Amino acid sequence: MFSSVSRGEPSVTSLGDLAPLAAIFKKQVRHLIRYPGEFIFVLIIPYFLTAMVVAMGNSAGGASAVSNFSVRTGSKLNPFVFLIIGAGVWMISWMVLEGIGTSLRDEQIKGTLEQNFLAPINRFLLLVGTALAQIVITTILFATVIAATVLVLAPGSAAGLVWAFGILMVGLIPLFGIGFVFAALVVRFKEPYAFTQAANVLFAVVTGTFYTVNFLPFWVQVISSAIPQTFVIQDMRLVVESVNSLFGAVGTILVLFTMAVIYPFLGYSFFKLFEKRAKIHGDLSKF
Amino acid sequence: MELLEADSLAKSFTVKEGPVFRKSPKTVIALRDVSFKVKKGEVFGLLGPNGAGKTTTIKILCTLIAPTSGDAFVNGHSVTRAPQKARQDLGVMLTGDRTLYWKLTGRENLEYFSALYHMEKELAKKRIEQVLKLVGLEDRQNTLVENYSTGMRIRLSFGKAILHEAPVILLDEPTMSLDPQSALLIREVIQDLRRSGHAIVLTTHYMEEADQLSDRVAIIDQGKIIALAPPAALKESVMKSETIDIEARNIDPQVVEKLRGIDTITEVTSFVEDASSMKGMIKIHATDAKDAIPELLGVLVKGGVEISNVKVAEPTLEDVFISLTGRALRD
Amino acid sequence: MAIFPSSSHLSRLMGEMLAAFIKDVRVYFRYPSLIVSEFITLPAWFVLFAVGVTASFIPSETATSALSGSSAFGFFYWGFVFLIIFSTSIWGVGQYIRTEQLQGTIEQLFVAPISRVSIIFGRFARTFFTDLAIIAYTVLLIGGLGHQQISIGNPLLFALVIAILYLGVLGFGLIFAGITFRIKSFNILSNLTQFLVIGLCGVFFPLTALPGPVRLVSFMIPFTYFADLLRHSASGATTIADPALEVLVALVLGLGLFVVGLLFFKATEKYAQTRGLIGTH
Repeated sequence: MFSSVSRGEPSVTSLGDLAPLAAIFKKQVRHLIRYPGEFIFVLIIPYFLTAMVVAMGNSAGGASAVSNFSVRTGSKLNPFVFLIIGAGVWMISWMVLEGIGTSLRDEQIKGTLEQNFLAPINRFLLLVGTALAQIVITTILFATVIAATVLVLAPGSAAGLVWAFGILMVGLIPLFGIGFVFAALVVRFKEPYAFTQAANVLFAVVTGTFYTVNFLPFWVQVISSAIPQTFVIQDMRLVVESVNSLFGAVGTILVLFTMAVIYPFLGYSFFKLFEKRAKIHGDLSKF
Repeated sequence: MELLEADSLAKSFTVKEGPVFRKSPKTVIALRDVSFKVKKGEVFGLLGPNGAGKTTTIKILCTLIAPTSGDAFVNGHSVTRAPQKARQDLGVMLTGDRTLYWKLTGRENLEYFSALYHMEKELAKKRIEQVLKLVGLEDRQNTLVENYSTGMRIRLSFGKAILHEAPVILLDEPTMSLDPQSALLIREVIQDLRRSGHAIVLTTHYMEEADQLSDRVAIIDQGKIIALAPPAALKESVMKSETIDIEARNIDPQVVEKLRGIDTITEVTSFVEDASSMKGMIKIHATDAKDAIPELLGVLVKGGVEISNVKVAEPTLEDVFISLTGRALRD
Repeated sequence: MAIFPSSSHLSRLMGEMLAAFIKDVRVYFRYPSLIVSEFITLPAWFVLFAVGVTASFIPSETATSALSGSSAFGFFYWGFVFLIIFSTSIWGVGQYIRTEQLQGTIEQLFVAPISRVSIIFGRFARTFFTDLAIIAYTVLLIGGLGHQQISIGNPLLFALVIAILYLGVLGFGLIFAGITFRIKSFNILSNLTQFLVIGLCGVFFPLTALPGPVRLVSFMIPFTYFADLLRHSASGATTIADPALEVLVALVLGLGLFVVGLLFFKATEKYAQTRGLIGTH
């Protein structure tokens, strides 16, 4: 008498979830367009930080700052280009991690998390949905602006740039897995910004945002190699400098693909563990 | 002796309305010429629907909002010219359960606020013990407020308002979201405070509460006080009409409208609780219920309305409100 | 009308401030993850930029080259200390009103018969101590990691400069606290302000790195002198002007910022009262 088939209602499938996902995406796009200042700010940060490091470097290095840079990094790229690639990747990664990590917490504070968890929507899509609009839009904006910067300051890099953005796209996928881990910790410990802020700056330190990771102690380099952005930044710089470097980067690109498969799976499994615990302890409604 | 006086308070806000990039300013009048006085040992009830201006009035009295014109005096201190002195003589409970620090315990919240109201330490300690006992939170005083239920937070908020025994106490919906037992406790404390000589202003949606607690009630609607008298006097003013409550199903608004044509009937409203069965209540004010009932029942039955219960009721404050405004408090 | 506050006024004010400080400390210690995060994040930012510059732009054999009469490392370190203290004005004091608004407790504070400075003081005083703790912890960390030891060249002048800096920080924080009544997108403004100060006040690089016309703007910003004197008193770096004159200028600017901040805060409170904005967020 009450079967969903006889009533013609859709059962819970990924296709059925795409409609609410599209609705969430649309809502977020509207919100983001209403507050363009947030975009502008997000675009400015990497440029500001890069400019600051370049200014600090030029002051400290004096007349031979640029040649020092070339010797120390092993790169012939304009220092600004070298650094903006690192800063840009770091910023996009921050958007992904914070977007996924804090979206649940925001819902918890608003009191709507339980309502969302009651809905017959796939949890995976729920985690990703709210952050997706921000990630897509800021990635597109960043890619455009950084591409323009690189082409102006390193005109011969167009071919390499295309491959560089391909590497970036692959490198974003494993980040979702790390984001799910954050989301789980947030549901458990309730302080999202504590985790994401600390993680963001530590990521920047260990992934070589403003230098090459060779300068870091060996034990730190081991940690760096577990973070996809280390390879993304390194390989993007290589292929922008010379598209031929792509062949040499095949190994690390394969590592990125592997991470893209394993990390989201591991991260989501971790999240499900914490979700189970949260249900037992009633954590979903507490904040 | 008046401890609180509102003198021709008026408040208007400018809001921007319209599509993005083409918003135009619009003036919204929240209060118009509101005046009243509250004596020592009096509970003054402020009753009205959402958006009537009750909270705006409370916020002006406690200096959170500056009036556009007019003034108010708390124990003789002007809220516009001597706000600090006015605040010292005010105990305030604002609406909601998010008015306290969630990362402090119940006791710590009261200790903090006792210091802000300049209570002497030893006196504050004794008073905090008293208040915690009074509001039934003695056993949970060392628990973080984030782990309190909604009712406990509201009780603690009430405790904070009466902590420093200010001569004037403002209570904005003090029993909202409380279970009947807790609500009863709060009402008993309010009555004790009245007996102790405090002047209390109480806003509420609950007519029975206003009726039971208030020495005088002001009915506020669209920013204006439309009636101000003791509850009995207000009800008497509509006793010229009696109220007939009819519980029914299949309520047809067109049929209900026809009732207005009956001579002795002065006002008709209907509320539908269940849209599928059109089950609800028809409220009729008539100058002579005995006379009106046969005819009105005939109209309703002929119109297909299924009547389940008929009651001639004593007027309530809601009836007062309906008779003054032509609509219900919940509208 | 009393010109000087009476002893009872003063004791009431002290009581209010003490209560606000105790409250803020209690709440602070109930967010342990935030505390841990703060102690990780701030030194990590320093490491990021210090390593970034010394690893990339300076030859390995001269990793601590001279910068304006102080070592590059020392230059960056005291810039970092300045930034921690300056950030208090925006994220500590400035955002405090916003935090109370979001919590729902702001109206309770404004309904209480307390001085407006007391409202802010608790957060200000608490961040003073946490800033000191983070700075001390970073010194130990740097020493522990085998880098050069950090020392203070002129302790008396350093203490005076810190006092002036905090006065200016409190005043600037009051301006920001007032702004939260008017502006919802507080974070954007805060970050932009921080960037401007870092970029224009010689925090991480000497003013000589800036073009002439831009430097003129720098000279009009009080924090330029605060940062300059902090570095001079700690590591002996050369100052923009004669040190004694600069101290006097900084003192006047610090006091001025405080007075302006207080007046602005009171004016925006009135604005918020007129428009019924105190509790909204």
